[in-house]
Amino acid sequence: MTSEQLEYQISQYLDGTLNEFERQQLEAHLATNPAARELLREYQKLDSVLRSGVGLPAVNWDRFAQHVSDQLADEPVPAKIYVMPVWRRVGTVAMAASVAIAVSLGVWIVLKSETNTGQISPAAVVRVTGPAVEQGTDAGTLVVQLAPPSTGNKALTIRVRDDAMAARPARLIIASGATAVPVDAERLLPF
Amino acid sequence: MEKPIEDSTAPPTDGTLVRQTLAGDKRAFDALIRKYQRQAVAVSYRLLGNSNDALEISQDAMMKAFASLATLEKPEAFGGWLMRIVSNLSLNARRSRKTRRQLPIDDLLGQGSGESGESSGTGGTSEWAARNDDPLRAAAGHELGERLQKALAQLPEKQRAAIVLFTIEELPQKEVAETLGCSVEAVKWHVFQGRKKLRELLKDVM
Repeated sequence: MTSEQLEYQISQYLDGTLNEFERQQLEAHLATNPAARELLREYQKLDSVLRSGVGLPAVNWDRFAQHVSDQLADEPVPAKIYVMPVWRRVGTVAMAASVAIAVSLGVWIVLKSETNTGQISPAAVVRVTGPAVEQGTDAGTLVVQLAPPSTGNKALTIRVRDDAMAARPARLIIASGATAVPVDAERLLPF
Repeated sequence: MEKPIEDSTAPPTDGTLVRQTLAGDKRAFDALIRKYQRQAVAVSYRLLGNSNDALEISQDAMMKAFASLATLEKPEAFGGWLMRIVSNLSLNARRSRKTRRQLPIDDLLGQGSGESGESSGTGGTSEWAARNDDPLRAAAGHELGERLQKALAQLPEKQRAAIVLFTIEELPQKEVAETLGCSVEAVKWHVFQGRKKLRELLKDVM
């Protein structure tokens, strides 16, 4: 083992990232090599000095936190985004039904459909708002659960095409009488 | 079935605060700001070596975190995620050395106060030293802090970032690797090379 390899092992030993065999080998070497033990001690001291010695600028933390909070005061609450890639066909009965969803938190839902050539394309992209969104656990069901609408929120409706598919389980509160709200799919943020 | 007894005195977890923020409660994000502001400024300061830039970057990072909060897949991992944002912005800022003039810097520096009641007389002084009533020891601490900061500044970018994030801030190597866009093995190597160089640069203070 070269001296650099030994130093590298000592560095990893200090970090606890050697495997069991390497650790035992190094400890056996340290037991018989004073120079190696001294190097380990120097690295330990260096780490300690770095952690305790690199000070921080004195900051008025209350003011800093308040300043950041003030900057965010006019910013909209971030919207939750869901993108559901497709791999499995959903039951046509459920998906043929029109849905109505009462909302109050920003959520983009992309419903994709498989074309005759097997390509996946967006079937419907809607923005849904609600205070909470949960994911269900049953694969194959396209459901997004939303909290009840708060006062003043409009009910948003989604039409789910009968050939829409979903890969990620999610729960959708489904009601009747829904119509699609088309949205530009290009505006989707990466998920 | 009896419901488990919940500890109502326990502070909310990061995951809870993230979910509350997404539900519309901005006060929950204020709590996250207060929890992580010191670490954010510390990471940025140690990467940039400049308190003004560190404060600006930390503010930018928190605003960016707020705006993209909905993309955080694991709300409980907010802290590590925020530090990655801070690190990336700091490293980018160092490369470009853009100046920002949005924060009232003079109003924020030099008067440390807040939750821990710390205080300081002058801007740029070590936070540790600011709490010490012994001026000689405070001066020694300040001098050491400057030496360390200068030594860190001499490291190549990835070695400096690896030392700051892993050795000083003790973030997991996997998170450091994600921040730096490299493998965990590469992080180990950068840490080693950084230690080796710092040992040489600081041998007179060790």
